[in-house]
Amino acid sequence: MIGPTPIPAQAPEPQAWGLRIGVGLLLALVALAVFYPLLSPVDPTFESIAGLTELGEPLPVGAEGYPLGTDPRGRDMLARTIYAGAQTMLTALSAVAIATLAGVTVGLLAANTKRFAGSVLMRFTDLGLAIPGLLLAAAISTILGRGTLSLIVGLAAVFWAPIARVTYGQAVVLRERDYVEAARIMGGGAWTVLARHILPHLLPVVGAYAALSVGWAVLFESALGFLGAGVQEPDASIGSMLGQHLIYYRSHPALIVIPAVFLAVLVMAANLVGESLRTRTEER
Amino acid sequence: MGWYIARRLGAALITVWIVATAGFLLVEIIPGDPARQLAGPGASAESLVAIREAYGFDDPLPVRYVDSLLRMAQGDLGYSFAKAEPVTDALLRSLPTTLLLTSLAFIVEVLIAIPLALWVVSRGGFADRLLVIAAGFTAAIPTFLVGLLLIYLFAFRLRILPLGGGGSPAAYVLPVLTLGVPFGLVLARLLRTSLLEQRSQPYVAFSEALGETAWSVRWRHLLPNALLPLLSILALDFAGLFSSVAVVEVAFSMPGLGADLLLGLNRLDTALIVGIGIIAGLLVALVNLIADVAVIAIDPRVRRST
Repeated sequence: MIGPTPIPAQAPEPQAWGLRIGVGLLLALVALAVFYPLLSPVDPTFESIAGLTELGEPLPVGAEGYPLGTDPRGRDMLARTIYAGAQTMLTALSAVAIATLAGVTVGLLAANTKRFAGSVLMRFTDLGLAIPGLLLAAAISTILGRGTLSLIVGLAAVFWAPIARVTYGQAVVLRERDYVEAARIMGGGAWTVLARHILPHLLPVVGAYAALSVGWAVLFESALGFLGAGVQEPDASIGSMLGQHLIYYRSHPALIVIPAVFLAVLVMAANLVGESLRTRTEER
Repeated sequence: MGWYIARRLGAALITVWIVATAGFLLVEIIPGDPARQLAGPGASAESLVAIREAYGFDDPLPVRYVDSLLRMAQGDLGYSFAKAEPVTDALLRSLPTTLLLTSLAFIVEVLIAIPLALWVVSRGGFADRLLVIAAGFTAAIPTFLVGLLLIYLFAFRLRILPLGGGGSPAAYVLPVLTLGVPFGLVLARLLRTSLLEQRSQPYVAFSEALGETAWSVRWRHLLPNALLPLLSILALDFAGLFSSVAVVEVAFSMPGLGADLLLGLNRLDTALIVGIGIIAGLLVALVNLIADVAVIAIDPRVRRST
């Protein structure tokens, strides 16, 4: 019988549940960030006297009209946390997308060019790995002027280097494989081989690493917010919320706990996806 | 072997040079008049001219670049207007706190990771799972929140440890734990993977067949081999630890480089930020160098091939 080789039935992979839970959580958070503002009339930046007690303190969790209470300026915590979460996710995802693009390009270039140029590129990558990331991101985003865009640039400047490392390491191994050799012998140019035969095999590994980087980028964003760099009022990110609410941690712990829970769920979901993808690719 | 060390030293110097160049360029692209920043808002036109003359702000770019590299080589990192003193003086005062905190946290990290990983690997099963999950959890929570939780528990509720500051040795307990425990768990997880890989190697079965005790096999054969691939990771970890140290210092209000960074970020004091970056680059290059030398000290195979 002539036809496609039948694929043998596979045992369910042990990591599949981790990947599913991670992707599910991420999708839920994204859906929350996208649909909540559409369905709810509450403005996350609206400061109101009604949102404060008579003494001017934030309302507690469960107050009427404010399911998660209010922040010190009388803004709805539920709306504000989701709004901040959307900002943080957007920042982290854009930064990692830029970093992945840059990292893969540098890694492939280094693997594919002559010895000297390649090793110069990789030395630059090592340097990117050596500088404490938080410092680099803080310096770049401060110097470019505070705001979401410069934050994205600062984070991308941190995360491209490890991705370039991973890409280079994989590309150098793949380069020596028989099927790549075959493609080369059949007359494929260097760039054709790279784009059509090496790149597709890189993607799972790079994807795993990019997913892990999203988690790290979110953590970096929160650390920068804590230091006062990054997103500024009246905009909010999870990091800026944590940074601004820090002084209330004894009197109103909910102001810290609510954004922290959002952050922890987000990072854990990203890590779950990244780790599951990585164990999958490593088992092969 | 001498050649190998010389080569690594050269690589470290190149790293420092590139960091210094990056710092110079960052300061260059910032809009604003550095002479005015130095002199303050009420300065006269003559003093501005004098400052430009003295610092060479009007020289062409390559001249300024070489000048600034020469100054950095002599330990002059410029003037911090936020601190109202030379950057080098300010940073040298903060450095001991940061170095002490980083080193203590690093020691705690390793002291937690090695026994924990060995125990978990020999025990297997539930303990093994628990470590993976715990490391996953700690990796998802920012260090400053861990620190905050510890402050809340030990300083406010139980009142057994000081809130922060840098004076007494007790002030270091919470920050060191904040950094050491999460990093230790993550390192233990990496070490666990490495140990599991090594355990199936023939030399382990061979040593056991020779009648060595499990303890001796574990500490004399398994651990050194499992630690080797982690040494370079450990050096990179130091850079990560350094980032977290800055944040934890701020959370515990300790007078270290983190406090300077916070000040620099809030006052947009570029000289201070770049100075911290250069110090950090120097330290990380030094640690990488130590890790490279440690590899040849531990691994006779590398020693012979270099």
